[in-house]
Amino acid sequence: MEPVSRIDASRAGGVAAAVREAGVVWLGIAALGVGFGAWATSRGLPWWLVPLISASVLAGSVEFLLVGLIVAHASLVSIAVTTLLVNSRHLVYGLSFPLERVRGPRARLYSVFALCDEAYALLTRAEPATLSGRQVIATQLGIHLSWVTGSLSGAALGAALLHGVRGVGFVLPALFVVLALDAYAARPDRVTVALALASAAVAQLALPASMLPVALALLGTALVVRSRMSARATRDVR
Amino acid sequence: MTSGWYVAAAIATASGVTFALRAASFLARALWRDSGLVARVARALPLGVLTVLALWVITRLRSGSVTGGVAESVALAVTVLVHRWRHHLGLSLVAGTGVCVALSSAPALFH
Repeated sequence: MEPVSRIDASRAGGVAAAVREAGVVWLGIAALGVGFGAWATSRGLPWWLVPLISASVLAGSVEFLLVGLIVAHASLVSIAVTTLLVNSRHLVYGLSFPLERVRGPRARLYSVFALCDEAYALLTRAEPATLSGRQVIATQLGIHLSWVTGSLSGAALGAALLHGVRGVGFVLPALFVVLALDAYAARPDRVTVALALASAAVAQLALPASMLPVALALLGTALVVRSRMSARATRDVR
Repeated sequence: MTSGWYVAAAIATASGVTFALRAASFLARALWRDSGLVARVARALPLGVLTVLALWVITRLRSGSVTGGVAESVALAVTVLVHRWRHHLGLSLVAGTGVCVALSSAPALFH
């Protein structure tokens, strides 16, 4: 039964590749989850609610805000609007995320559900053709499980676990900086970096409280304009 | 604590809106499948988005820092240098975060 063993090999290969490429990031996300869990219970949330939030929302920045909103008994409309604004960046993720590598409707549904920043960053840095569907799903499952496990541990054991340990939260800035360096090495596109820097600077000066969505909206617009201009230039040359 | 129904509805709202946004982005791709413009923009997006995400987390490093941002600045430099030296994601994360934890925890030892 050679075909079966080949399928088994590719399954194992996909999971092994996910561990190799994302294993350290999973550990970092678990550490962040511990911080989130400890912080959420310190705000008055019951410990068992924390993993429920982590498992069903799976978007770190919104979860921090959601805890504050629930504790303040905010209206559902303001929760919806806050989530919409903070997560509006996901509107562009589908354009380059390798969903076509994932087979089967259930796996695809899960892949869309679990498309957080870290999954987008980890899975768009390789050529889509080099990724297997297994690797994509395993990478996302690993992120999901580490975030839930971490936040549950943090919520159950509370501040005792993090007593005296400061600076663990640096793993997230470090991750995005390193992934940006990798993205540049894979595609040294100075114009895009310059447009991203300018978008971030303008957003930070104009609306520091909502810098991220504003900067991404500016970046998206700038990339469309550049693409239009370069298309026109090519036509003119012809 | 507030009622169980309110909490369940709050979580469902945040989860539903997040999923809708993620799903909508794939709908957009399906609608503009044949557009060269969207394909070119999509190719440039990962680098652009990651640069913005990196800048965003960097601008927020000082709040929550116990050293006024010193530990984070040093850790950031270490992360970039280690990454340019070895090009290994895990090593760079461990080195940068390790430096940040060491420098942030050090002042507490003297109190």
